[in-house]
Amino acid sequence: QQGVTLKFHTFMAPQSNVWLNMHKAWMDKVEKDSGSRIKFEAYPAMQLGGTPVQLYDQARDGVVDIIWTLPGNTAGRFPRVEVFELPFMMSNAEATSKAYWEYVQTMAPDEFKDTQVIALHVHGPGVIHTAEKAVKNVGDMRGLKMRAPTRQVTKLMGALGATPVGMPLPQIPDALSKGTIQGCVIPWEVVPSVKVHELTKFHAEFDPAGGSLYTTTFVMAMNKNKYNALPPDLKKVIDANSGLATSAWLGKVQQNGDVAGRKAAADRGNNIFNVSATEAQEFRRRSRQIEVEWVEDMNKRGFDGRKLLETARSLIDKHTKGTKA
Amino acid sequence: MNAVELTLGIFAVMLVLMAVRVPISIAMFVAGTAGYLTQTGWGPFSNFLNTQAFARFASYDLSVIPLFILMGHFATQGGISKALFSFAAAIMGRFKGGLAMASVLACAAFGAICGSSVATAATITSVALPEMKRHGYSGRLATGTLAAAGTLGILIPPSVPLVIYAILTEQNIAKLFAAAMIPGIIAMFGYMVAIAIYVRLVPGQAPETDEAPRLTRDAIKGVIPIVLIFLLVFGGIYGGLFTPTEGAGVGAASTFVAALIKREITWDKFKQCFYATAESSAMIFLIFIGADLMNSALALTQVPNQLASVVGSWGLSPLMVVAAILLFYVVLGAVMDELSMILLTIPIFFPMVMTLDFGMPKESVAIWFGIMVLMVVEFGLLAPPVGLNVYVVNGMAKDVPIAESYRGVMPFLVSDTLRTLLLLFFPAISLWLVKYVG
Amino acid sequence: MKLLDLLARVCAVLAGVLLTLITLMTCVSLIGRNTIGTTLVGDFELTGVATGAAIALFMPWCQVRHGNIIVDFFTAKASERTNALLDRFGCLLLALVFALLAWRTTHGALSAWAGHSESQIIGFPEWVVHTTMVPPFILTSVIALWQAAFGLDGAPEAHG
Ligand code: NA
Ligand code: NA
Repeated sequence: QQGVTLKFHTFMAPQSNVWLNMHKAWMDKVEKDSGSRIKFEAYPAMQLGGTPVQLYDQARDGVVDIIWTLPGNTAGRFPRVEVFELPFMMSNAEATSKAYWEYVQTMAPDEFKDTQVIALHVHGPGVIHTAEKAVKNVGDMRGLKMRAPTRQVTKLMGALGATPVGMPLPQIPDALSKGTIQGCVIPWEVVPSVKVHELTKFHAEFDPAGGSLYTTTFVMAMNKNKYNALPPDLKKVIDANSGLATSAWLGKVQQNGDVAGRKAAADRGNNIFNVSATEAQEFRRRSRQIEVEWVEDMNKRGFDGRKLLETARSLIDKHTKGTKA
Repeated sequence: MNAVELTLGIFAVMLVLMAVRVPISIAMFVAGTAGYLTQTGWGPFSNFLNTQAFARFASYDLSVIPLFILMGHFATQGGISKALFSFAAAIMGRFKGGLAMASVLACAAFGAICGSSVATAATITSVALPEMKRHGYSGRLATGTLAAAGTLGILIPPSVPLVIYAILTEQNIAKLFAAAMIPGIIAMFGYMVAIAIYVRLVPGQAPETDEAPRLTRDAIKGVIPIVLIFLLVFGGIYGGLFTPTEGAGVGAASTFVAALIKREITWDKFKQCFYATAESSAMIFLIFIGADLMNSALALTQVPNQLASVVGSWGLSPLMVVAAILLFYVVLGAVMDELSMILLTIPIFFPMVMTLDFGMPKESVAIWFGIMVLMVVEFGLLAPPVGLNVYVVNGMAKDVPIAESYRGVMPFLVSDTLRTLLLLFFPAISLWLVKYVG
Repeated sequence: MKLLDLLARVCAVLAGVLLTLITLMTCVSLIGRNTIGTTLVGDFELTGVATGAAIALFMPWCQVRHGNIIVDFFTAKASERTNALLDRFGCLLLALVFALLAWRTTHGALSAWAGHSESQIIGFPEWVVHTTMVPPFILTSVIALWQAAFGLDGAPEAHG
């Protein structure tokens, strides 16, 4: 019987939670479901060349068959998706991933039209990690040099009175240990890989009920021609491992990765605390301007910004109520 | 044609082209292209190329290379490096081979703020080579010393290959840097000892006495700018004002300003800086593009992936496995550049090494292996036929045949071998400083 | 060759000035960050894209100077005539490689333009960098073709 080998390419390190428990696990499942007729050549760490910025085009142009990347890497290209990266939008990764999938199907179906999208998901809640000073209220952020991961969080840091410092993720440990930055914003899952639990002492979490601080969007996509050329039964296998459920599963597995990172910090006796409801309210108030700017930006690009924002929010609400975190 | 034959074919094409004087970047590009096309056809290959120049050239991580090269030329044209070098020479001058030792010292100092070995080699060469020539050093010893001493750029932290290793293996960069510190200092002294022995064993390579300038008031005044720049960059990085990558920009900018203040630099000299920076930067980045093509073609064959299981099936002891991997790196390093080699092989070898039991905690194994990898990729920068550092230095010494430069590198390769064995059998040398970090 | 030489010089100087400006920008941003707390957000992305453009602009001059390293180990004993012929063959291959790069980078530019690709933090449009790379690639290719046709004898002196 006819089989096919697919090249899976991404930037994640071969030892990472994402690669082992999400990408490999997904490939193993597809291989099994297809009775080993779909096989994978797996390339982590950009082994096939290029940088993460090029990944999406590599899938679109058939350089490789399947990729996993951040739409935010090429920001202007997937503008509507960025709504999920706005501050205090996300609840938990599983529910928000479902909302993200449904949102793209209904509000932005042409955003990823160049590829066969397999999954759209987000990571767990972002956390504020600081070295010297606990961030219990907005005032504590003033003047802190903070490394921010995305465009929206960079804006947020500015709005909160912190000084955003841009640098690639791998430079975080060095920068923290020398005080080039005094803190950073990342989810727990990423903490061990950049040793943030060893280099910071304070970790500010937000009650997801009022929206978690931030998240980042991801996309797993397949080359269209490659997908269309599959025999019908293999297409079904891919379909069965795509979509809302797969997106939710990826989000959930990624957020499960948070547990180990949080434990690593707790084991060192670090101070992990929830920002109180009233103070969180103030954080949200300060971040409102960022939403307004985003809506204006969408309007300028010819979309209905307000509607996009409201739809995303109501979808997150709907799926959060329907998903036990 | 099976995968192994294809792999050998790709290497064969590259080596034949190199042998007939095709630029090595182009030889890699053509061989990689042939290998890529054989495996995927035109469509995927051409699309891969669409963004390749952008991906490699517009890279923040690699921006330190042209910036440090530019900084070196500002310093050279502004008369600053020359002052620094005469200062180092005045200190080392009393020893036989003192100027060569001063070059090693200067490379080590520069390496402490620069993470790239080619940039270190190119910068110090631009000041040290004319001086050594003027004092009657042989082209062999001068170029060999500078090529080898240039590797201190990656042996002494910060270090670009270590950063890449840390990213690929999710290890702490600060700890890896700490682990590299003592081996880097051992390397520096090892090179000085190599020079001391070499100039005594082989006559006619260095003058009996250097007649280096004495430590005059002017000599001391001359190094003030570079000391200030050094303090600014060093202090800024370790005092937490900026990252090592930003430090490259600060270094270049402050050297530019210092040259302006010294009023030694004219628009004509600026243009010379740009031309010289253009030549070395373009050459290096074109090699990156060629290496990318080679790497992608090799990765597509899956041979590197299968290698792990082949080695695993031999049933060797853990230390033997590591020794075999390191030996493989030495061979591979002869024909590839250091960054591409790490990118290609670490994802394959690292998981394999982590399953072995060395009687150390996993993290220690990961750090120690990283240092060992750093030691052997550094061989690749010096070993013929494609030792990048040797080419960079030799390219700046137009009258020295490449074979002479390779001969000049040999004593340093002996020193490298001894150091690598020392670190292989005594991991504690690397790991000792790590416990004081984080 | 006079004109090609001049164009290559202009490219190299442009790129050098660009790199110098970028380092000064970095310093301004750093001073801001460490004093008044305002900073040029995403300055590191600008450094990346400026380096990209600069490296491409450096290529023609490197080729004028025949600065791409070759292995002369195996042909050291061959006649000067043979070596000169081999060098012209090398230049021809290099011309083809740069023509290929220019062509494919044009595709990259069009694709980045159509897709509105921007850098992550400051949203710098990627097509600008792609587009800047194409003319120097073409120039490099033409220079190498000239050298393949007429030999390297006309190469200007070091730092001339
Ligand atoms: Na270094
Ligand atoms: Na090499």
